[in-house]
Amino acid sequence: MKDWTLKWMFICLLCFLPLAMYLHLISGQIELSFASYLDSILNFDSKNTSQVLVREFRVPRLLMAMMAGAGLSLSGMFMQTLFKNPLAGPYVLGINSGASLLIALSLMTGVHFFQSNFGLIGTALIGAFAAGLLMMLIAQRLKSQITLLLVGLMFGSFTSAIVSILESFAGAESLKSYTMWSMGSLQQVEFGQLGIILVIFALGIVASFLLVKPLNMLVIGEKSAALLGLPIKATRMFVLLLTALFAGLITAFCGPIAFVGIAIPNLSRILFQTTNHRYLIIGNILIGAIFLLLTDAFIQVLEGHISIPLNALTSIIGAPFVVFLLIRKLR
Amino acid sequence: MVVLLLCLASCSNQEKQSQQTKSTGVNICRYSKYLGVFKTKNGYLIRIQHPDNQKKRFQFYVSNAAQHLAVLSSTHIGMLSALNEEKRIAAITDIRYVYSPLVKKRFKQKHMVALQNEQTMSVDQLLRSKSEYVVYSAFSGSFSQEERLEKLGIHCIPNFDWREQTALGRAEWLLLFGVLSAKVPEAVELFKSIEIAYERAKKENVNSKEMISGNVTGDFWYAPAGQSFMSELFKNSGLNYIYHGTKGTGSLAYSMEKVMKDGSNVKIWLNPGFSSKNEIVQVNPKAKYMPFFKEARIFCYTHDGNKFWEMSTLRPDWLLEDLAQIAAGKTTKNLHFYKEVK
Repeated sequence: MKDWTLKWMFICLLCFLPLAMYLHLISGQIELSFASYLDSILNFDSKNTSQVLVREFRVPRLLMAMMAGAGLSLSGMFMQTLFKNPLAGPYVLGINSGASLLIALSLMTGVHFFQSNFGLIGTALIGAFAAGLLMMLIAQRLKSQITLLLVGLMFGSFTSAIVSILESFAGAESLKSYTMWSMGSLQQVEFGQLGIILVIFALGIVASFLLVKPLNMLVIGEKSAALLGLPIKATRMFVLLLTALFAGLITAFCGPIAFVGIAIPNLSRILFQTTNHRYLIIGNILIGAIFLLLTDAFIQVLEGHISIPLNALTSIIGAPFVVFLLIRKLR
Repeated sequence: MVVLLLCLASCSNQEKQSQQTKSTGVNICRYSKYLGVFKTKNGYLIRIQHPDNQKKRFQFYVSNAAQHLAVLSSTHIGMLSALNEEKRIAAITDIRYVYSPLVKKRFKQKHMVALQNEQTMSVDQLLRSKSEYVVYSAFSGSFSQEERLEKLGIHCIPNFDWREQTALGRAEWLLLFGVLSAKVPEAVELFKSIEIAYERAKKENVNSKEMISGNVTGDFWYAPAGQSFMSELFKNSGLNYIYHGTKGTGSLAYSMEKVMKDGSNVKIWLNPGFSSKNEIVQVNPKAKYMPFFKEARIFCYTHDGNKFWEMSTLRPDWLLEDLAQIAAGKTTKNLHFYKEVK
């Protein structure tokens, strides 16, 4: 695809993003004035319900929807390029499994250290990064990417088996807490936490652009890239680290969100028809953010009539798309 | 001649059997929508209507007490305990969810087995327990083991007490256990006393203080709908439940935003599902922004959840007494199920 066509597509997406943000903000069940939005940021009054609604509910939910959509799409794209497999996603690294395992351990074994000092989100974050770190250590010793993929899947099965065993011994209260965390939600983040999340997310985006050249080289295959002077091991570690960062951050704060990490990178490739990761990164950020904003806005619009969990809706949209990809690949 | 004799014998047997199972036609259940208990010549005829399928009706005849029962829900244990018939319990699902001290003791003494889960229970364990009946709740719509167990001669009885729309309708399922343990007069007597106590505890006037129930799960706040039995209990105890006017008999699922706005004057928060404020915030950090998190008195049963699940279905009078005490803002030291969450 020609550069100017791509640029026009990006301009269209960039124009659509504020519209999606606006739709997301107004889709809540309570009508709020524009002044409430302004005051909640500039002149916050903690006793004013409308301002609390904006500051603690709508704004964090909006920003988390954008970051989760963009972050999961980017980490999915990294995995698909690294494994040269369009069906790879952020969770093949066992990030979600690591977070789930540590949450289950802390809730169901009565190890209160995690709960009292870090909270559930902190526990999930530690679990996600520990899993990412473990996978990176394993990756250093492996030559084949497929083996790493399989190790990731086995790690996932292993942790879910442990979680199942813990569940069968857990008390009703801890089981309830675990189930509630595992349902996932974009509403868990508080306004005060947004700063640190935004900083980490921004650093991740900057680091992603530093990876453009190595990722473009990986497309031609690891051997060829190595012949062109690409340090394969270091690149692989950097890609894994970034994937763990994005997926870990989002899983810890929002719980599992299915299929975004597989579907959006593929959709970007189909739309932009390019292997240039500079465009793919921008495309994934924009499409991922818009997708999750619209999905979550749709859920909010339906709230008065039907309650659909985010994870369920992303699966309903994402799963048929992945099936379509599989059929397309088999042809 | 032989055929004629066989026919006569068969006819006489059928007549004898039909006389035995012929009901008096009077259903001794007065509140239950799904359970019917009819007196017959030598026992009782039980009729259970499936709540979702009008054509599906379970009917069986019980003449003798069951010696061994498998009961798959806490409420069943509570009802048998109330009749002092714990000795008949031969199988339960999970000892962790049992409140009855005697059942716990008998479990320790290996008088009963744990089957774990209703849908995935071990048939071998069930056979080991020598249970003649399995009483199940069918929370997931059906009981997958039913056909296989019937082939093994174990009768399966659904218990739809949880689908009843009135508190007394739920409690009336006690009569089923009265039939199974051959203690119908005692069960009827106990139910009458519960009914009287329930009617006595009813309040006619609704308190002016607004009340909310439930908590957030995932993205939604789940609360009892206006026509549910819980909502009826709230009203009867004098609580001013803010969603009493809504339609539906199940649960409401509202966004936190809506609950925040609707609950701005709430002074009592019931059933958040946790026994401390710290736990509530741990699982749902946004709960602290709810106006009633700081300003309302919060009550829950989770400090002794097993007691609540085992006894509250049978004792709506106790539940009503607790709620009435909470509504009136009286001392809450001697509540049956509830405790203040701090």
